[in-house]
Amino acid sequence: MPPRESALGDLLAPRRLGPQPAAPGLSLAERPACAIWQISAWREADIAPLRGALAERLGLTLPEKPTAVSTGDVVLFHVAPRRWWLVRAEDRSSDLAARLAAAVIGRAALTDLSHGRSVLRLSGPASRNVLQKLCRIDLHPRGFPAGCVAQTPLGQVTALIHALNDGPSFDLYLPRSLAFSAVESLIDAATEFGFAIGGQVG
Amino acid sequence: MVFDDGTVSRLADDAFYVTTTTAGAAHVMAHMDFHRQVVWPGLAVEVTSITDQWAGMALAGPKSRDVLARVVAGDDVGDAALPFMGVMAATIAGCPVRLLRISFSGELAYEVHTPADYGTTVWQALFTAGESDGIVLYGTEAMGTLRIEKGHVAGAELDGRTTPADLGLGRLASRNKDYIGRAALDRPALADPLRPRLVGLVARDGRSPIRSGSQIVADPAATPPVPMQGHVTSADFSPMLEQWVALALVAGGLERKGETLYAAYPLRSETTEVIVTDPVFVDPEGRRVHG
Repeated sequence: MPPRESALGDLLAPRRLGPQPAAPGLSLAERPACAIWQISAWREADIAPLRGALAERLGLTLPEKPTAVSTGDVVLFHVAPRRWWLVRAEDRSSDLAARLAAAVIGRAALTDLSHGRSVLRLSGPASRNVLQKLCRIDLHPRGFPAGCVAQTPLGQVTALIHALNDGPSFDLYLPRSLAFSAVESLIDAATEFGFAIGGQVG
Repeated sequence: MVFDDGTVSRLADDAFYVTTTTAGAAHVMAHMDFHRQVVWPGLAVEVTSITDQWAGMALAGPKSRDVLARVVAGDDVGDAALPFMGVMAATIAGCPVRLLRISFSGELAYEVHTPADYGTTVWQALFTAGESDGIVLYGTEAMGTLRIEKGHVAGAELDGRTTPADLGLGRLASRNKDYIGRAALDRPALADPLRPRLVGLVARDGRSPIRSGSQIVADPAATPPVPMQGHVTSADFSPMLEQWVALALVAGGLERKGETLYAAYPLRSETTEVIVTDPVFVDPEGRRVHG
């Protein structure tokens, strides 16, 4: 299979923007080639068996609240009623997709969204400030600690925001066809804080 | 009323791949979500937008099958294997693709869909394969002309006031089963034979332009208020017919075929004498698309 092409082109060509103290206030990089599977339970009554099947067959925990649960290199997000996303770095040699399909059969619909999102990692002391300029939910660590997940407009584009840790550090899941525009907005918002762009994170 | 148009492909017993217009996508999704969440909450069905997941491209024209055959690894894409309106999974340049033999262009044509990060790879493979046949790019302007020549309705005709019958699509509405909107279509005003219905128009002199938005009248010299017979919805110069052609909604529709009317465009003080025709100007038997 050929390589996967990012939607961002040269937008994240390595460079620094804005005031440059010894260390930049924040950094932005792409997480390329993620695998994203949406799991939608058919009915309320299917949730418990689904949870059981994923735990038994794949050792995965389905979160009950809008938080992220990590198991090894797999993260599960609760994104809507009866709906979750499973995210990991793409591994073409892995049979996870087939095992997932077998585990959810009869309980949930499985939809591949792997190419449907561009994933960005925003890290550094000023990263919360940047996001707060673009979105209206309260991202203060009291209200949005590590592990929290929210879907909310970031500027004009609906993003899924995952608080990774108290760095703070965030993963942003952007619709692929709007990602270029959304990242331009992020870059504009971040420049005042001193900013290192580029590179990729695994 | 018709509010969008698109395609439905059946991928499995319980899986469907649906396309819509860009402008109508959110409306169609909301319509489906409303019905599955509120009207029929007991049905086990999920709907997800996968607009960002797939890159789609159209390969059209008499040589499109030859070009496709050069790049599709291993599979037969001949007429029997992939008939008009057929869907097939295949591989191009190592990328998984979905082939839909359908096109708004009215030509022998295919839509090639692939997961979005492979889009450029598949595009390049198709373009390279077609170079020896003189493949060219075509954009939305060209598509606009092609679809008008074929009488395919688009946003200008789907203006929220037209029914399937108004657009000549009445045969797509089932007579055997119920569907959302069926009862509404029986309302007297929506079944009135005097409703404006889709026709084609050509200029009587074979060369004057016809403007979209023109009012259709029977006598341009009449004292105002002049009764409106309808309006021109879409118009363009047809390279195939070498003259302007137009789609219009006219009271009485194709029963007025052959009649002379006037397309009045007061903004430019223009009036064009037009003849009512069938809305399909090119290849009405569909020989190209079924080729």
